[in-house]
Amino acid sequence: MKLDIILSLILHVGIIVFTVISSPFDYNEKPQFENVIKVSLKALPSANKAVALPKPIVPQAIDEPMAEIPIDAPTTLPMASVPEKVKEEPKQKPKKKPETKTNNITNQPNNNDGNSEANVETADGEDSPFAGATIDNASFNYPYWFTQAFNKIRRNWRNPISADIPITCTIYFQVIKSGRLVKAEIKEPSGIPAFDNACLRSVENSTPFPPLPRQFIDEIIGITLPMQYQPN
Amino acid sequence: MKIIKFYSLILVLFFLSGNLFAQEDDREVFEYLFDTLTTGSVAPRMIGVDEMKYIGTQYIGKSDSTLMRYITAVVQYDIDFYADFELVLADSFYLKTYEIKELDILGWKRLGAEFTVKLEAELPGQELRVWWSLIDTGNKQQFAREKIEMKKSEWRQLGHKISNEIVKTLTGEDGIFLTKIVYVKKNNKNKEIFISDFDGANEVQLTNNHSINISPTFAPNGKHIYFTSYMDGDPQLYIVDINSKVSEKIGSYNGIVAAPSISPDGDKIACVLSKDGNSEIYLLDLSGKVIKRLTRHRSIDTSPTWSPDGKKIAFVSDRSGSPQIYIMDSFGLNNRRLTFQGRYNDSPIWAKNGDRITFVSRTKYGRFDLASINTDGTDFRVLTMVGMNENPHFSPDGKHIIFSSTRLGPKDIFTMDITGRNQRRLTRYGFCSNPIWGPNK
Repeated sequence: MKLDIILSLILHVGIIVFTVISSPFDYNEKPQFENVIKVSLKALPSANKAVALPKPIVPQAIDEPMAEIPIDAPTTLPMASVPEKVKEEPKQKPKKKPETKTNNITNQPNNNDGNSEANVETADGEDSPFAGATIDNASFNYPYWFTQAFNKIRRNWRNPISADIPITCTIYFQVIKSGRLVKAEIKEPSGIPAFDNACLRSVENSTPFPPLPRQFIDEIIGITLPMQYQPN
Repeated sequence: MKIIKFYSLILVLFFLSGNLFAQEDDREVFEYLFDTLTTGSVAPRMIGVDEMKYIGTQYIGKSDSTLMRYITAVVQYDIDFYADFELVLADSFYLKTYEIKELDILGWKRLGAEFTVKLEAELPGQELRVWWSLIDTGNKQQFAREKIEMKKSEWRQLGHKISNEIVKTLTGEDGIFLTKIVYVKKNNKNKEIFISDFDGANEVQLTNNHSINISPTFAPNGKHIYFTSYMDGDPQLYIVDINSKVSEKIGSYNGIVAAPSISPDGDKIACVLSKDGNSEIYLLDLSGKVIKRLTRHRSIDTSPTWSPDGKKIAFVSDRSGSPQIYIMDSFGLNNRRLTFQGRYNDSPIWAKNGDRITFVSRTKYGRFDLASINTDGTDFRVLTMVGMNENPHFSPDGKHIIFSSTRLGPKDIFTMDITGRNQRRLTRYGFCSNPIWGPNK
């Protein structure tokens, strides 16, 4: 009898210890496939917006928007290259302007060749999912605007997919003086329509953006925004 | 015997460990419920507000100095109130450490402010002339500077106007600091309707008929309030002009006329009539004439509320045996039940973008809490956890919720962000209920 109790006790303790200590099967273990992108829908995109899905952009279209943008007013072009601007600004504000420019906008290396695009730096820095954004008009020297605008976009960004690798969709959009969005399109699709639509919708739903500062003389700005999904 | 004790001890430890895991789960649920309602986790912008400085040339008295401090305080309160902003306070320890009386831009930056608001004033006669400017502390760049002129007696409005301009500059959206709220306040056995600024200041009594007046709702133009009153015996529908405070009866029906809700286009009223013996939801025109009966059920249907696009109406019905929220289109068709959580869900109100409905839910502890749910019935979240919380209503920008609560004793009016954070008390009278937030004019 005593032996039975001891055996029973040992058996029970063994089961309990095994249950508590042992970890369950690792259901999260993912099969390893090389050169395969795993994508699954977490939520279906809403039907009404999905209708507005633009057709996939052919590779040649990437270069075309620069020619289509109606924003390059004569006032913009002379401001495009850095050397010219640095020389012009001191006439109005001799001390402050050159300092703010070097702090805020990091011009692309090819800016000296006449390209008016500039990289955009925000408070989020390189950790931002929008790192690598560029603006058509390098004279737009207001980092706060990008921080505020990108925050709105991020708040409206409802990612519908889950994937194993980073996915990037590049959106191009234009904003006028009042902050209203006048154009938004997919410039470089990721190849996953649900993700592309969500990116485009997040920009469209973020209007109105902060109005452009009064000191900024042009009426419109165009922004190329890579939106990157990073797997957890 | 010892073996049995040992065995029992192991079992107790086992169950205790399980209980600990359960508590961990509860904490996860708690955090989940109070997580932000938007998917993007964006921190509020940190803003510091400098004390207003006098830049005129003439000597100013103590009253003018006080006035400038009051205006600064109004702007600081507004910035702190706004859901997307967080006020950075001038840290007295920092000032003492550096032996300075006020912060420069670098000081604000060190305290965490991304932007600072600079206020400068001239006070010619009875006029207030204020320049406000916004500075990016990151690069010391002043990117906005405007002038506002008003009379000294309108100093609160001037402060709110500056705050609205700051919101507009930084977000592109209209601020809510010049909006009004309306609520019901109990006075002896009567309930009268009052109106005040969004922060509870400048309270004015709108009705004074020594009766019971409830369920106020703003007309979309912001100039009239529709409400239900017992002044003629049965509850009937009335309208009051905010400026003249003159009330007028709209329609007259047997039984009750209650819970009016004005359509977003402002030309229809959804309300509850019991003229046919049972509380049903009807569509009325602005003169009180019935356009259409929307519900037809032997149970009680009440609390209609319009979707922002005016195409749907959410309402409460006990047709399932307990009060639950249903949605139908504005013609009364395509009824569907929205809530299945708990046995009491009431007072629905649509979010500004139409994707969520906030309502009152009796949670498992028997408490009335504010809850929120997607219009497809998913993602149910509880927003409050203290006191009895009722009568939710959204601010015109959809970022804040106003509601009544007994968390501090008598029922008062409170506000919070849609996330459930930043909860603050607006009234301190007690016995206040039915708050609604007026439109942006």
